[in-house]
Order: sequence, then structure tokens, then C-alpha cells
Amino acid sequence: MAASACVSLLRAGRSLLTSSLQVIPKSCGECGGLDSVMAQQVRYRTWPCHIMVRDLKRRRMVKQLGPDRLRINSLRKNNILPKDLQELADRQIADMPLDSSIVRIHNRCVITSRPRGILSRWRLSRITWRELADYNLMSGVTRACWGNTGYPLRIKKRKVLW
Amino acid sequence: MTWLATPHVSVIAGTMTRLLHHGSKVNPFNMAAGRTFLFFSSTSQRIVGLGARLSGVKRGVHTAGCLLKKDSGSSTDSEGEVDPRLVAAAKDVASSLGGGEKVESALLQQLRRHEVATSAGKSAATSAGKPAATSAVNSAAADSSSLGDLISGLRVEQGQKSKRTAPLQDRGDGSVARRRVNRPEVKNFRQEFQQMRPTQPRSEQGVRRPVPQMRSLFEGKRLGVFMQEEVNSWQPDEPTLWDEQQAAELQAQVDRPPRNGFEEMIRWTREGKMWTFPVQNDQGLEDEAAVGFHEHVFLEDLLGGFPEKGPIRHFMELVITGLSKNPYLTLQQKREHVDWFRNYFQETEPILRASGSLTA
Repeated sequence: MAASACVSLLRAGRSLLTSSLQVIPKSCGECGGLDSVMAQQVRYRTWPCHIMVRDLKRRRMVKQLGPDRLRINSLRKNNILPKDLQELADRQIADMPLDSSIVRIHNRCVITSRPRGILSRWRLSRITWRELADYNLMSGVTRACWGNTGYPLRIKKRKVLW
Repeated sequence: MTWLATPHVSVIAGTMTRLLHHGSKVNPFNMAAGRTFLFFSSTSQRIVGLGARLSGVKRGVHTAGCLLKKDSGSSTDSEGEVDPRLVAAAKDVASSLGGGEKVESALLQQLRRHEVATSAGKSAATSAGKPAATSAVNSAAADSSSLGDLISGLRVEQGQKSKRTAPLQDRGDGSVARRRVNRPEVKNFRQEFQQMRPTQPRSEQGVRRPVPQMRSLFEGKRLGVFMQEEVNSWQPDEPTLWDEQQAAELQAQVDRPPRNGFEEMIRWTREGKMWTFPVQNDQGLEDEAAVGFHEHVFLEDLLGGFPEKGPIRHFMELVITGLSKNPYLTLQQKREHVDWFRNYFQETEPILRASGSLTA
């Protein structure tokens, strides 16, 4: 189970770091046949931080082995099942890779890989978030303002017309 | 002149040899050696007559009766008839070999083919209208050419020899127009086409190239190398990393990168990376809307396969209670959760029994 996990992670990891062939058009606009297309080799995918790559590997492993780890842990963390069964489960979970543990995942900014100051709803660090919001690229986000703002609109209806 | 007799007898396949010997024994007219040559040539004439006789015969299994000449009594046959003694000899040979009707018809087909070949050679040789006295010589000469081919390749079909000597009509598309000859039952179209291909004269044939015999795949005796059960049990190899890399490169040649941001967003939406707008919180879980709450809450049916009493039962009942209160998992995920535990307990049961902790 762990071996297959490692193999599949290797396959996933190669897409993280190894070079690949990227096909791009020679000229901007309509591309017809293959003669108008050139292929350039992408040397490396630019990640902002290598710790981001490690975090990505952990997330993929949790996606694969997380449920098993949770279930084996549920066998351990109770006082109903016999001790032998729990010892067996202890040994099984010790064999599992450490990166399959969900607590090792740390939310980082997806743009800058900043580990602190993260807004979960947008998965961005506060600095990146602010840069985007200032240019009106965040839907529904405005500068905060409270007090006598004028909103909600209250239409004043006159009681006497003259 | 007996030189002609010996190759004639020795070259033709064993069955034909037996036929001719049989015929020579039976023939009461040619006892002297001087007339032996004439006898064999007349045999070829009889074979020639056979083909002409068969021109009116429908396709199918050839019986001896269709080859018998109508008027009997003359030693030398006219054009288009075969010696009934040959036919009788063929029947005797077939009965001795066994196989019945099929063997007999095959032998008679051979007879007919020989007659066709010699008739073609004879007609080509006697096109100038030579006298009958020398016609025997000419037919012998024609026979020698076909005999030489007989010597060279016994497995070569008779159809090639007849086409070599007779002029062929070439159609525009490369296929050759056949002469009006009733061919024996041809097994498949490919064989027929193979026979009609014209070959070079022997003088021009430098290297003997092997004739590719196009055999049908589903005929002949089975070798028994591959058996159906074994073949069905073969599993294809798992694709290696190199295979995946090659496939990805091939796909990269086909897939064009998105030309603009709109295409990129369309692509991501189709892949499921982007929300569809207006945003639905249940995007991806549309099937769960059809599942009633009772299936999520009443999960006691999933407790089949666990022991009736004991700590494991207690543990699983707690698990079921927890799942019934979980609004985040789909029904399939809940079932998989319980199935995992069932599988785990079944696997660890022998280990626990051996250690003595499980006594149920």
C-alpha cells in the first residue's frame, strides 16, 4: 500500500519538477497546421518556493492515504477494542508514511507561498489579497467604511406636497 | 522415345503415377515398347479431352460419371474426353487411400487440371495447324514445358501453368481476365487471385523467389500453441513511466494552449477547477440530492458481516451512530467506510485468534 503510494507520488512528482515540452504558437492569432506551431522545452516549472512543493506532495498523499490513516487511528483511540487489536493498529500506522498525516499540511498562499497571514476563503496571503483588491479584481470586495455611509438607501417621502 | 515416358510418370504426384501405371496395365492395345510413347501421349490427350468435357460441368464435387466419355471403344480419344480407365483408376486409388468422396473428387480435379494445361499448350503449339502426326510431338513439346514446371514446383497450382502458356487478357485495373474454364471450388478469393498472376518465362527467371502462399488464418490443423483459457488469463502490462511520458508528449502535440484568458477559464471550468457561475455550493454533488435522509440516518443494515456480540459490535455501532450524524459524507462514502472496517476485521481475525484475545 505504501509502495504503491510512493510510486504514484513519483509519477505525480515528476509533473511538479521535471521538464516538459510546451507547444506554443509561433505567432499570436489563428494557428493552422503544425508549421505554425513551435515547441519549446520548459526547463522547470517555476514555483515560488520549494516548501510549496513539499506541501503539495503532502496534500496529494493525504488525498490518497488519509482515509486509511483516519480509520486505523479510530481503532487506536478508544477503550472498547481489545489491546491486541490496538497494538496491531499501532504498528500499522507506524509503517505509514509521515506525509500522509493531515496535520502536516499547512495552508500557504497560492501565489507567493507565504505561510502566515493567510485568508482561507481566498487562499491568499494578506499582501497579495490587498494587491488584487486594490485593482478591483476581487468580486464583492470593497474598502471598509462604516458610520453615515448613505447605504442602505433611504428614500425620504414627503408627508406634505406643498 | 521412352525418355518422355519416364519423366511423365515420375514427376506427377504419386497418385497420378499409380493411375497411369494402372492405366497401362489395363490398356490392351499398347503392349509393345514401340508404342509406349504413343500411349502416354494419348493419355495426355485424354487429359486434354477431360478439360474440354468439363467446360459444361457445373462447379462442385466432381464425380467419375461426369468425366466418362460418351462413346467408348477407341483407344485414342477425341478432343475433350478422358479415358474411363483413368477415371476407374482414380476411383480405385481414392478407395484405397480412404477419405471417400472428397479424395475422389480431388483426384479427378487433378486430372482435369492436367488436361487443361496440356490442352492449352497443345492449342498454342498447334495454332499454325500442323498435321496430326506431328501434333503428338508438339503436344509432347508443350508437355515438356509444363512438365518442367511440374518438376520445378509440385506445389504450384495448375492455374499458373495454364496462364503462362496461353495469352492473357489484361484488364485495365491489373487483374487478368480469366479464360472460360470451370475452376475447382476455390477456397477464398486470395488464392484465386494468386493463381491468376502471370509469371516470367523460365529463361528470365533468375532467382527462384518463394511464392507467398496466402493461406487463410482459420483453416488447417491447429498447432495448439495458444489455448483460449490461457490467452484469456493474460493481463496486459501496466503502462510504465516511459509510456505515460510518451503519451503526454503526444497529447501536447495535439492540445493547443489556450489563446486567451477566456479559453483558459473555459478549460478550467470543464475540468472542474473553476466554479460554475452562479455558484452552487453543491457543485459536484448533484446526485446526492436524490438520496433521501432515511438512507443517511438508518444505517443498521450496514452492520451485516460483523459479529453479533462483543467489543467489535460495540465499536461498529458507535461508528454507525457517528455516520448517521455526518452531513458531509455521501452515502457511497459512508458505505465504503463501513466496508473498510469489515474487511479489516476479517483480515485480522486469524491473527487475533492466534494471540488469544478474540474469543467469539
